[in-house]
Amino acid sequence: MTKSKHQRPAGSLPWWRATGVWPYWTMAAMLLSTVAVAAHGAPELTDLSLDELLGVEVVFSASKYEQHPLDAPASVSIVTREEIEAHGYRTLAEILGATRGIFTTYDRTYHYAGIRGFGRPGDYNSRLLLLVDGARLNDNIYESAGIGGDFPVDIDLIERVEIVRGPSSSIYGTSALFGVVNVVTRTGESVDGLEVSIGTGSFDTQSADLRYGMVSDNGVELLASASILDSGGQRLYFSEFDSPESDDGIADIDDEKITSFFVSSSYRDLEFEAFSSRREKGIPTASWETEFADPRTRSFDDQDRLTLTFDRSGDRAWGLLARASYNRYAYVGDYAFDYGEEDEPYVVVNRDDALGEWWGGELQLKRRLPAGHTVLLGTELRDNFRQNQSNFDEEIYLDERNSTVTWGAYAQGEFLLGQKLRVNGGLRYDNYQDLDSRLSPRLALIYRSSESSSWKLLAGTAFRAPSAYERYYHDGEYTSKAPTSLESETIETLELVWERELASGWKLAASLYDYDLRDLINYTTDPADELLVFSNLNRAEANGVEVELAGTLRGGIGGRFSYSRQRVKDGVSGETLSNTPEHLAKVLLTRPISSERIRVGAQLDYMSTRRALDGTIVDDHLVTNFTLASDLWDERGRVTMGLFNLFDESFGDPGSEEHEQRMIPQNGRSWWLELSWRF
Amino acid sequence: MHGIMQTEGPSHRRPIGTKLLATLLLCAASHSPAIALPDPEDVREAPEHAVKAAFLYNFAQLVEWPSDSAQQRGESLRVGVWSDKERSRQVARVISGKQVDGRPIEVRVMDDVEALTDCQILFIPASAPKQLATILAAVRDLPILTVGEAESFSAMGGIIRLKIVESRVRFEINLESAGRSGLTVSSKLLRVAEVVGLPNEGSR
Repeated sequence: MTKSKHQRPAGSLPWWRATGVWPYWTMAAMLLSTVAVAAHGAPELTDLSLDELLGVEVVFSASKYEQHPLDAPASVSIVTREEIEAHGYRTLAEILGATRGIFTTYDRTYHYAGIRGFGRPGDYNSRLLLLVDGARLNDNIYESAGIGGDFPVDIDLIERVEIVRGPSSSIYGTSALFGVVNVVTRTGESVDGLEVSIGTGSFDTQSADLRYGMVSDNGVELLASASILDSGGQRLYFSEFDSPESDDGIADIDDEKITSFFVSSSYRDLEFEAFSSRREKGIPTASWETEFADPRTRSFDDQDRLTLTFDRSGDRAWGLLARASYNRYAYVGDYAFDYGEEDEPYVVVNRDDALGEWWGGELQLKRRLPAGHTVLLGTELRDNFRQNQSNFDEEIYLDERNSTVTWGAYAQGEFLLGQKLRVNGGLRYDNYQDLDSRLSPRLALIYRSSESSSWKLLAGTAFRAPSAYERYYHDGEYTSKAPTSLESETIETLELVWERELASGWKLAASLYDYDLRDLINYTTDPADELLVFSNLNRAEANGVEVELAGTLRGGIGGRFSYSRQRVKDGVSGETLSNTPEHLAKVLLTRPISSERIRVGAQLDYMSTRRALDGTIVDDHLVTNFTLASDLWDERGRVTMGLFNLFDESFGDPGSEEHEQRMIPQNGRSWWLELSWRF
Repeated sequence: MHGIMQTEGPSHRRPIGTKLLATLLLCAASHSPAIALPDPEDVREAPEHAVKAAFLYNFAQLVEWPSDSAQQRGESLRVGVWSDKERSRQVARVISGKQVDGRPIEVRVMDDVEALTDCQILFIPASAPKQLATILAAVRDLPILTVGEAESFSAMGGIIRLKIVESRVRFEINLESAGRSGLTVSSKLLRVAEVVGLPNEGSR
């Protein structure tokens, strides 16, 4: 099959558009100006008088903008390293799953995040924008964001995770449909020395990490880390495959291997970061009608990134951020299919191969005006110079090579109208070579009814451009074909947020939201030729309410209680979408024992029933986790112990189209023990 | 139908994007950061640890140590940060080398209760609550300005406690403890502080 590349006639465009040099030129010009800014001294805090100092606001970081959560133009959650340690989280999926209104689904190959009731197993988290230290991680083939074992940064390197709910395309462009998750890594200063961790746990799991961090006298920081994990995985029983010829439904190929390397260094405003990770996972579910329990059926995900960032923002009147990155994502999926006749099996390993490489550039200028107004201007470029997809075994079914350049520009302004009201508006333009360009506006009204409480009214739109996978993938037209035309899917949202800091230090947050999704990209069968194809078919409506109370009780007991009620309906049939739990309730508690040396953590996670793809109901579940962490020998050592799914609750997540199973079983009771030592 | 979408859709939108980008660039160019000099008044937000460090610098200027004390002699004004290397560096980054009455500030991390007499200001971050009682007891009668973050800091005899109120740094001063240490707190500091203990009659 030949693919039309939708090339525009070059003659009808000005030269700088036709040749695509415009964005590069812009970037170069703006980069030059960074040098000028870098030469300037900044005002220092020690120059301020006592009275001025009393007026300085203490900032909390939230993504592209640093500001107080009560003033943030969104519903924001921040999970700190202390919380990650206290609850023994080992994946980003566990961190996200513990925050209000977010649930995760695991199909035993990849983890999927569901936000505001909308959880699409099989979408590879392409509707969530994942950032590591502010730079986009979603790849350029599937637009996927790995939040499980395929998240490329070791959890022990995370300083905090910032979760911004709702659409953020007005700043970030594509994929920021349901939310933005920014993972901020630790610095050399925070690691400070050599640290070794070894861990062991259920399902024959072992891990080892090595970290080194330092900061030199002249202020150069360095952090280096290497981590490996090897897990035998769980022995799983699938009733759908319970027959003598398929091992009575027992698959023992849930193994996982992860290696990751991370280096970062900074000097003054300049930061360099590089990481490389590989994850290999056995696929025990016999998805895509592969042979049951064939150990050759497995997936490999590699991610590599190099970034160089110049960031001079923070407390200055002028803030400037410039970033360049090289990114690489490689995926290999091996699938064992039986091509033989009924009594004469002939098993062949079919390989899905994807390689994406891209350059990214970003430039952002922030101006704080004396009256408290802030203006942000930015531009972003992605040169997807390699987007290769192939599928082959004994013959080649697909060999698709693409390259695209996309760029966007945005402006955001925040204006104070009097003492209490601020208006935050943003607009972003995104240009695609062969897709409709996009305009994404957002408007937020933030009313500080008092020093300690605020009301936010948020309205916005966001989009997700179809991925290279959705646009070009097919298997040689045996079962699937590439669409002739596919456009972006969009979301329109309206949200009301109320946040209050109580006198006792507790924080209360409540949200009411209404989402309207259009042109949702779904895998469907074309009635004309019975082939599977992606198309902009569906509409969906989501609405719900979220409440959270978080704070510290007497005696240092920390608590976080959240409840969400959510509904997601198909826009045409009015039916509830699959994998949408109506109720989510979470309780997180931490308590210090014997003057902070020992901390215990408890987590209760309730999810109500969900509909499986076949319309049947998947049971609700309550999972209890318990962790204990203790310092050893004058804080040189640290031991962490976790008991997960303490009461061995048996539960599953709904399977997606590629699964025979209506429900994929999840882990029963398991444990984890980790010992860290500082040298 | 698809064909129409592809040719008309983008061409309809193109001018908007071009204009927008041009406007952005014009804005960026006309407000070229190279011309604008940052103004100290524009510091309205800063990380918590940096603001607190700047407060330590102010305290060093607005507290008077007894002139006969051993601490008063010496080339530098020494600020000790208890047991927290990261915090110590953060403090050093803001105030190290700054002059107070002609003496440069020197920041060091301290983790030996016996060696505390070596500093004029001792900052005990919230990260070290276990040894708090021991440390405060050890420096109780010494001319050392203790600054802490723990909720019970003042009640346990610490002199200045830093806290966050409505996203801004505030502090409370225990005058009783200050008096016992022989420190004189400037009225300029008292004016903006929350005073928590009254001085003993004999101390001043």
